[in-house]
Amino acid sequence: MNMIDFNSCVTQYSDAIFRYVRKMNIEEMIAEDITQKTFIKLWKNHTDVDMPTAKSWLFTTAYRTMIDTIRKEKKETEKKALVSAPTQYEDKRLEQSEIIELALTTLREEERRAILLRDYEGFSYDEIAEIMECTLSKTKTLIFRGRKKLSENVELKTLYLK
Amino acid sequence: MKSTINRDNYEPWALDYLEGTLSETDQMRFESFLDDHPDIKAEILGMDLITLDPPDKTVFRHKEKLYRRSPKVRPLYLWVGSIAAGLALLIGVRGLLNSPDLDSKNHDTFTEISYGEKEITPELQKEEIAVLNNSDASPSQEETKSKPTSIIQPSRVIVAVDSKPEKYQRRENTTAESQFSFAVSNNRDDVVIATVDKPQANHREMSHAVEIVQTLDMPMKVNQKGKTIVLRLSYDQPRAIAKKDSDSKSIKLRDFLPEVWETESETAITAANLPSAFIPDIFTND
Repeated sequence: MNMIDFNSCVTQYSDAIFRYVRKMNIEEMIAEDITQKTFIKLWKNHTDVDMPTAKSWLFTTAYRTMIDTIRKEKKETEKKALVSAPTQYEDKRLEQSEIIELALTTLREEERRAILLRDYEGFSYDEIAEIMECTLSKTKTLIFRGRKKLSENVELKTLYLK
Repeated sequence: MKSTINRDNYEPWALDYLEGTLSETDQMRFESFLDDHPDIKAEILGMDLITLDPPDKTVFRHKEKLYRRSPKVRPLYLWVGSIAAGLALLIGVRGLLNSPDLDSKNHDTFTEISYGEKEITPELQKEEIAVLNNSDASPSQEETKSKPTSIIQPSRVIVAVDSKPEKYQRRENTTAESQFSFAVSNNRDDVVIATVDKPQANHREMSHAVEIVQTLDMPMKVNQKGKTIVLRLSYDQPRAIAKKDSDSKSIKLRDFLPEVWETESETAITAANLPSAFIPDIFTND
C-alpha cells in the first residue's frame, strides 16, 4: 500500500471505524483517539497491508486497539468509567430505530460487534469470522443470539410502551 | 452443511434458515429437526429477524490529520551542490585575497555540519561563512555557531491533545514526545507538534488550544539534526521538556490569552483576536 492508497483508506473508512468504536459504547474522545491510533498503525504497516484486505485489517486493529486502551485505562483508574453510560432515552418518545439502538446496548460485546460488522459494514460471515478471529460457526452463533436478543428486547419494549 | 443438527449446534443453522440461505435439502433437514424439538421451533418461528438501520452520519472530525502528505524537502543533490558551490566560491575569494588556506580544524567543523534535507536560507549561509572566516574563534564559539537553525514554513500542524494527566499520556504514547518520535521516524520534518497537557483540561479549552495552533501561521525551526522542535502549550504551568528537545518551547497560554481563557464564552480564537505579540513571542526568545 502506498501513500495514495493509505489516504484513500482514510477517506473511505475513518468515519466507519470511528462509528464502530463509538457503537461499542466508547466515549467520543477516546473513540477518536482509538481511530487515530488505528490509522497510525496502518501507516506503520502499510508495506504489509494491501488494499483488498485493508478494510478488514482496520476493523480488526481498531478492536484490538480498543481492548488495549480499555485494559490500560482500567489499570490506571479502576474507578473511572471508560465506557460511556448508555444513552438515556425518554420512553414515551422512543421510535422503533431508537428502541433497536437501546436493545443493541444490552447485547454481549461479541454479539454487538458481529452484528455491527454485518449490518453497518456489510461484511460477509466469512469476513466477520476473519476479523473477529473465530470460526464461521461461532460467528453465525453470535449473530443468531444477538438477533434473538434484539427481537426479544424490542418486543418487550414495544409492548411496554403500548 | 453435512453435520448432524443437535441442540448444541443448531444456531448457525437457524440463522441460515431464517435468512433463507439453506439449500433445499438442508432446509428439509432443519425443519425435521424443528419438528423433533418444538421448544426450539417456537423460539425460531416467533423471532423477528431484526437488522440495524443504516448507520448515522457521524463523521470522524479529525480526518485531515490522518492524511499523509509528501514532505516538502529539497532534493539532496541540490543542497549538496549549493554547499559545494559556496565552498568553491569561498576558497576562490580567499585565494584572491591571499588569505591563509582553511586550516584542517575549520574544515572539520564545516564538514560536521549537517542540514539534513532542509532549505538553506541566505541567513544560514552568511552565518556559516562567518564561522569559516573566524579564525580566532574558540572551539566553543565555533561549536555554537556551527549549529545554525533554518526556518521553514510548516505545511501542516499536528496537535497532540490529551486531557488525561501526563502519566497516562506516557503509557498510551500520546505525549508530545511520542508524537514527535513518530513524526521524526516517518520523516515528518514539516510539522509542528504541540500538546495541551493541562490535567483536566476540558474539551472547550483544548478546542481553543487546537484552534490557536492551527490558526498560527508560525515559522517552524529545524535544528541541525533535521528534527522538528516541539512547541508545548500548557494552560497554566510551563511543563518540562525533554532534554533531547532542548530547542523546544513551553508556552503558558494563560499569559497570552487570559481574557479568552477565563471566559466561558464559546467564541473561537482566530488570528483576528490573537494578541499581535503572541506569535513572535513564541519563537523570538532564543
